[in-house]
Amino acid sequence: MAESEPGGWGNQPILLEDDPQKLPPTLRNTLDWRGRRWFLRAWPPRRLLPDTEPTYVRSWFYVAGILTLASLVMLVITGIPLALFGPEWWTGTSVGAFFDSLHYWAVELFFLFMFAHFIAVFLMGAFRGRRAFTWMLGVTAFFVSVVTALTGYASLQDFEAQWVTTQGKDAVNATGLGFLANLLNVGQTLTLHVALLPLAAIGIVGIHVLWVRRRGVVPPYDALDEHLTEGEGAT
Amino acid sequence: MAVPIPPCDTTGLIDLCGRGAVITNGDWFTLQSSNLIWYLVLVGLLILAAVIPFPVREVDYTGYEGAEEQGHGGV
Amino acid sequence: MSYRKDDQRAQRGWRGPRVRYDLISEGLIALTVVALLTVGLSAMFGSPKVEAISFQSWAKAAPDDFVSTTLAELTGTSGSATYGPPYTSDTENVQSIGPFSPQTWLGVTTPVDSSEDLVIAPLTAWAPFEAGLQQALERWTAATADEQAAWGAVALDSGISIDGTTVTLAPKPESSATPDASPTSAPSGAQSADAGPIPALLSAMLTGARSGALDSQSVNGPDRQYATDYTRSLLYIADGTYAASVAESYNLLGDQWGVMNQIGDWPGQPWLWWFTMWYQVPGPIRASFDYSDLIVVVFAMTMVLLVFFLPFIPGLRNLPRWLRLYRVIWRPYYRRYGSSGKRESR
Repeated sequence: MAESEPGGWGNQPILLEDDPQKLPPTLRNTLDWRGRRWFLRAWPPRRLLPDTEPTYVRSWFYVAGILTLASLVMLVITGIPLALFGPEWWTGTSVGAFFDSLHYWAVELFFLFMFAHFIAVFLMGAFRGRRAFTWMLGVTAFFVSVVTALTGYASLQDFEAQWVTTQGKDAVNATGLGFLANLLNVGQTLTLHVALLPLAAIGIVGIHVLWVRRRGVVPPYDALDEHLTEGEGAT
Repeated sequence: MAVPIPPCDTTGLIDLCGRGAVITNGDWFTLQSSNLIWYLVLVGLLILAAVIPFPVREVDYTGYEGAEEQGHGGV
Repeated sequence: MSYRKDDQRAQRGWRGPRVRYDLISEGLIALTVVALLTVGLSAMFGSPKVEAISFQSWAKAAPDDFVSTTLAELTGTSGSATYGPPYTSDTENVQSIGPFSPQTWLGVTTPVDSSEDLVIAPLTAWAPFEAGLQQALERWTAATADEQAAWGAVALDSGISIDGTTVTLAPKPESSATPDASPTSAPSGAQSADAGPIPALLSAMLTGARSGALDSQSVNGPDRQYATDYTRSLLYIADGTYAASVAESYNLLGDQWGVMNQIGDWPGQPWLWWFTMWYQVPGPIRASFDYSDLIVVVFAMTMVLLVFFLPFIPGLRNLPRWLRLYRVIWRPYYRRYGSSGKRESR
């Protein structure tokens, strides 16, 4: 039985150290245990949900990321009724058209905050110190979001969709990807837009956020030596 | 020949259906004014972020467990 | 300071002073702010609604354009008929950079036969209703490819006049005014006959389009109950100039950064500037590649990859260091605690 960690919450046995010596020998080489140890080392609960941040995190620039995340949540919330009631609803009724507008403004805000976040983390050199993976996930999230937005415009079923798809198809066809993504097939663009691409975007953003929590916010250029630990670590 | 154009409609209180200004500079670029506003809002947000102080509360650990023991520092 | 040293310092943990921070409440506040902004902006400005062009609205608004586009589809001279992969097998208009032409790699994956699918198929469905159309259609389908091409050549060289839904082809005024050296040029007045059944076919198409009988389903798949693939009807509409006229009146044309523009005065997709800017670059690039989408995609993807691999590209990854704008972001920290750079400065 796992030993209750001192300082655990209530009577829940919370195993933070996961010392193999404390485990019965038959439990010392399970993949579950290895996975659990890896996860708890990468994301100890206080790092996953921090109640403090280093003192340099005192700038509005740090808010752009969470605003992007909030806009993504807003996109999902406003997208659900559109997906439920379908194209005839948003093209044919004023209530549907209003929800279409909500989704439209949510995406404008999403990319606005994402650009602000991108500029902020670039100026901070936030890819320093084993944070390159986090950066690359962010760039990937941007690219997937762009494609998701394009399929959204393609699924509108109004004149704009007609124009965007008949113009945009040439760029897709020129790259030889016409067989994979036919913008003129609204069945394809709509399912891509409401199912596959949002799942991909949310998954990538999720891992991006996890890695931000894992490594911590990048310390400033020329941070004082006495403010930094001797060895590698998170902030 | 001027052809009839399908009408534009919106549920918004302010109707932006009219053809907006397009900023052009010869061959170099043409840019819809509404997109230019988007970029200006972005720059404005960044300037505001640099100018407005962010409210924070410093944590005084005196008499409490240190930060490192709480799992912040270290690996 | 070298990037390597900056990078190694940033690998160390933080043991300096800390501030209170609450991720969940910050998230909730952010969500509230974004929700209010979204609802406010939507109530205030809404979003543009312009109905899609149908064959009916096209044929009513611009019958000349509809008929000349239909003629181009029938004779295989339209943009989609000569597009190349993935729609047709010819490679004349295929995009390439030297021998690099990914458009051709997988060949025709979405076959479109402009003449057959866009014109003959809907006409065949209506033919039982009208004997005249039936005869014209039989004459067309019974003819050899050479005969069809000869009729087509005459029709393409003629002026189109429309009276109601009756299409007649007459010699162009300029071709009768200027002496034509070509001995094969038909005498004026005889061309209508030389175009074979084409005027009758065009009249029927115009009649069908204006009445609403020609709908996207009859082009995309008349034999199908369900359809979500609008490739054929959208290609047909895009081959005309009417869609471009509508786009022009709403600021959506390509030379207005059309891909990222929005109808009227709404913001569009300004986040696409790194892609659409390459359609704008003047000078040798634009001249030599003539707005080629392929070169634009290559440039844009190169930019994406540069940003993606930025942490590993010497020089680029030191850009934030050189720009020194981080001094603005972390100004409170430097002001209060100073920086190791200043202390160590030699």
